[in-house]
Amino acid sequence: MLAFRGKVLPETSLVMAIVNRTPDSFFDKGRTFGLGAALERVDQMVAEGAHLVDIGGVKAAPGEEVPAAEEADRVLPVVVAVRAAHPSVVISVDTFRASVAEQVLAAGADLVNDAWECPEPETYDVAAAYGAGVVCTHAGHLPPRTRPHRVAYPDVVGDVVQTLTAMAARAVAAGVPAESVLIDPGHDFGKNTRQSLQLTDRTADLVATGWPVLMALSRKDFVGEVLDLLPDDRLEGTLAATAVCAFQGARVFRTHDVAATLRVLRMVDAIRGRTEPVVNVRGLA
Amino acid sequence: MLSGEVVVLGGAVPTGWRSGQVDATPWGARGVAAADPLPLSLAVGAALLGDRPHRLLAVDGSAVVLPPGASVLVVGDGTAKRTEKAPGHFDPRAAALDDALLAALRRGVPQDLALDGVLARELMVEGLDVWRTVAGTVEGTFAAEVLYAAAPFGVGYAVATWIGS
Repeated sequence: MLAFRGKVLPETSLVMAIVNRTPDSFFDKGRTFGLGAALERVDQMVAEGAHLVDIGGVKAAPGEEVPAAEEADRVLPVVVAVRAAHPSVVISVDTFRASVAEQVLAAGADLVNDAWECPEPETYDVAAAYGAGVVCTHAGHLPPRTRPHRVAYPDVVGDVVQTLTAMAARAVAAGVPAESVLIDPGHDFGKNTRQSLQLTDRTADLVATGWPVLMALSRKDFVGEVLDLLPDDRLEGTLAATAVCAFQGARVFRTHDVAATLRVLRMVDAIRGRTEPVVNVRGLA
Repeated sequence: MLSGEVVVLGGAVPTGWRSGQVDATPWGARGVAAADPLPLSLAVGAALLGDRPHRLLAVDGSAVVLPPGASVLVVGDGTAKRTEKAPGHFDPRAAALDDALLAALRRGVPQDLALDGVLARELMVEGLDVWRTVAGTVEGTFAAEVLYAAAPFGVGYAVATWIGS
């Protein structure tokens, strides 16, 4: 079972919608930086079927320093408004700071999506105190907001499995409910394209840990480098990777493109027999 | 152009004469990992030399003893902070350090390759150790030619030849 602060998610593949309250993220480039625009985007993505929304106030790439107070100023009003408007949607906040996590959980968020291998270990204690969930993400053991430079792994999949199972165990030991822990191999984070592709290919190894797997693939550079395309043209590549990961059992997909991702996941779930066709008349009428 | 024994110099630990396989699996290539993979700098040198007989020497910035009359292939690089998209993001000091490195390569004076270690580490100069070893080991002056110098991915690359008199 996957549940966050009492919100039990369906047993299907799930969509986590990305909402960036940033002026400079790589794909949306500030389109939802304004509070009104961010909230409209959330409404749209929830209407499209998003199960979770992931609100971020600091872009992942290196760049202008965003102090914790400013990050909180960006994400808190979104959390408050979304909590009021969408009581049943799971609210995730993309942050590597325990202090920001504390504030958003107090305001009603359900899940802390730390994408940087938890540089502030008290984040798990904070999540536990609120009965909230965490995402444990492999970031190649790099500090937040840095890029990989010739990162080498004797066995990248083994490193990810070992790191994430240890992090998940730490989260549970800190008191985070076990049904509220996700693991994320962190495509592109501390990895080159080939390393991210291997992790995609071997999703089953991550699923075999028993922890539900979150895949954050959307329009990332590993897709761009395979196809030599800029972020605007990476949808099909992202969806191909999504299908491959879902088929192997990854559970949650963080995406900029809710409707398209949901269609792919419904199709994969039906192929695997996890869900029934919505219509089932052909040859049976 | 190469005379005598050919030695590849690359920054890596453990230091000393090394043998092993050129193996790209640590960087994501598919296949079975080699039992004894070479560190990146020496692997690049070994791959460039192919079947040509050579030996591989890993260095950490300290002076070393090279075989007399050897030709040396030094594998190093410059900063990794030349542009916003560079691995280390943009640092306004990076271009000047790369320029200084390039000027030293153009002059053919080994001692000029002794970079400021603190600054070079901040600017992610992976070649720092090998440049310092060359500065502390190689004597004399050389007829130098820089064949390539650019930073196409925000990382300072150069290709140069030094021929002793």
